[in-house]
Amino acid sequence: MQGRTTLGDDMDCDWVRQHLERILDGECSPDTKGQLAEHLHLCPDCAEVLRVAEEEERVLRAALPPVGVPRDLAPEIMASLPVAKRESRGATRSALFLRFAVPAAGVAALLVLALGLGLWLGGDPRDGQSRRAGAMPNAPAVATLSGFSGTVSLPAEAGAAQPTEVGMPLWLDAVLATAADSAAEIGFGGKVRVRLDSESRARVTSSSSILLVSGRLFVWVEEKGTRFSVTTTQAEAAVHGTEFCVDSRLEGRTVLTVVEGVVVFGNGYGSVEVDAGLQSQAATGAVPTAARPTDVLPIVAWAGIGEQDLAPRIDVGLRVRLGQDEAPPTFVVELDYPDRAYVPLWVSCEATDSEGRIVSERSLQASSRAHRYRVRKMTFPGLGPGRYHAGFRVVGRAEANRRTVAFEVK
Amino acid sequence: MEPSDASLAERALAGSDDAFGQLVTRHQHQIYAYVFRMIGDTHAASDVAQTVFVRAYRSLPQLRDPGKLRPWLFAIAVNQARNWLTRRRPVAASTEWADDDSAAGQGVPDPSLWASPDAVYAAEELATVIVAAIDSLAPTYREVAILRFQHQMPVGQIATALGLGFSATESRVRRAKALLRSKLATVLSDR
Repeated sequence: MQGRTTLGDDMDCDWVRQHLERILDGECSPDTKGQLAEHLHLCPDCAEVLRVAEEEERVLRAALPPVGVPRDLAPEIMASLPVAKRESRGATRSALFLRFAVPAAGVAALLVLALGLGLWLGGDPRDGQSRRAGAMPNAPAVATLSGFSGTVSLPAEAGAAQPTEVGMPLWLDAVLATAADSAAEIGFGGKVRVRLDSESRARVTSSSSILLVSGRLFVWVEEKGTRFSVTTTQAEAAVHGTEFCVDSRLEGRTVLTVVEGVVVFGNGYGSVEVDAGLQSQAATGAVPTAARPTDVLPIVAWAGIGEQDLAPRIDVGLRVRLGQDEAPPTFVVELDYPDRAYVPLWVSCEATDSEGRIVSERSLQASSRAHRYRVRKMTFPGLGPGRYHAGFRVVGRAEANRRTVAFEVK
Repeated sequence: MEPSDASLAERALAGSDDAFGQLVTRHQHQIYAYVFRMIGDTHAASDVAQTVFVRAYRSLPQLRDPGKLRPWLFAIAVNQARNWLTRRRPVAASTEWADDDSAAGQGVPDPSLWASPDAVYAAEELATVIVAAIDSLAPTYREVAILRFQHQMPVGQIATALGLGFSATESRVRRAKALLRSKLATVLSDR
């Protein structure tokens, strides 16, 4: 029977049924509690509803068993915090932004950003202004041309390149251009070095930022805690104590590759976190793609980064076996880590068909953090019937362990 | 006497990793349990729980009331679990859940269902049935049920975790319970 007992102006059976949860929680005002007690005294239906609700609550709360927490969880969390800490102090966001963080054990990090060259074929819209400001001796010198090779020019307003010499000051908005045979290095107060690659053009925009008009540059932030950013008309790569590279030579897209550390890579449409050994691409008007494993060695070689500048490689044991009678075929990937601090790692997986063509690519996060041993499962969904090979390799600052397993999809 | 969440949060905000470590130790079980119950995969739950604390660490300056650290942590966990489910759940599965809402009544507790279930069914069996019923709820109601029954949260704290108003949360808890009753009535009556 549904009671319709009314007490006072605002307490009736409907109110009791609609507000059972707050009654169970005791989250009622003293006045309401008084009215409720009086109502329940007069309304056996509501008293029974409340009694059953309390019993229901008791049974449901008692039924759910406790969940055991992995023993390594807290150490893993704490091991990953230094990365987070640096990220949190990273750059301000612009239309497209990057923030970089060095892992606790890491010394150096590298990222490559490739931006649509086509966007700058017409030149930097602020170039005219930059020539004037760059040639203005009254403006403060914010950087130094610390070295160069080949032909490096400082385009002046009249178009005639100024002569360059090592050690010369670069004023605010000075523009530096390199030819096909040249490269230049710019120093920012002993804290930051920027290497401008051949056929590149950049403008010094402050003592802690540079605008890349075209081409590619590499940045070393040599004093931890120093902030520095690389901006283009479309993007900004801002860092807090690390080393990275910005590349504007590819058409129509932005490519970010991280060798060490973590980068938040985003624009007004969203962002992704890109870990070491991964690459993400962004185009104007779209959120960057999910990070995928990539071979960072060519970038390391190009940037001339010495092994001594990078965190030591770790030797990760990689074993792969095929699960039995599972459809689709499921691989069990086992990883053994040495006892060391957080190193971001991934396992890249490729399925190739009988003709050696890659028909599916996957990746597994395999960051060691505090793990000594980790097992992950993965499949290649959507493969048609046939015989395949699955290739697995560890990506990141790890020895290049590879495994190949043959499998069949029926 | 153990320091309060508020004092640890303030120390963590001032740069003490030790204080944050104490908060992790204190809350990791609950956050992991919530995430695991929501997504049902131990490896993924570990990764998501880790992300929750890393995000919390980054976002500490945005914690307005350090005294409400627990529901604030759960709010992050709710979002991270939702993100994971959005990325991983096949579309077909979510259409199955879509029926849940229409099945949700506004009924009151059923005396016959809750008369003495723990006398009729072994505790473990009842737990299995209830866990399965909660697992089969759509995420919208599953998160409410887990916060309510696993974590014993009052409506006010659930509201903070979900980012909803009090009345809307109260309504959602009521509907989650109605769905559970509906699912459990079928299962329990078959035994």
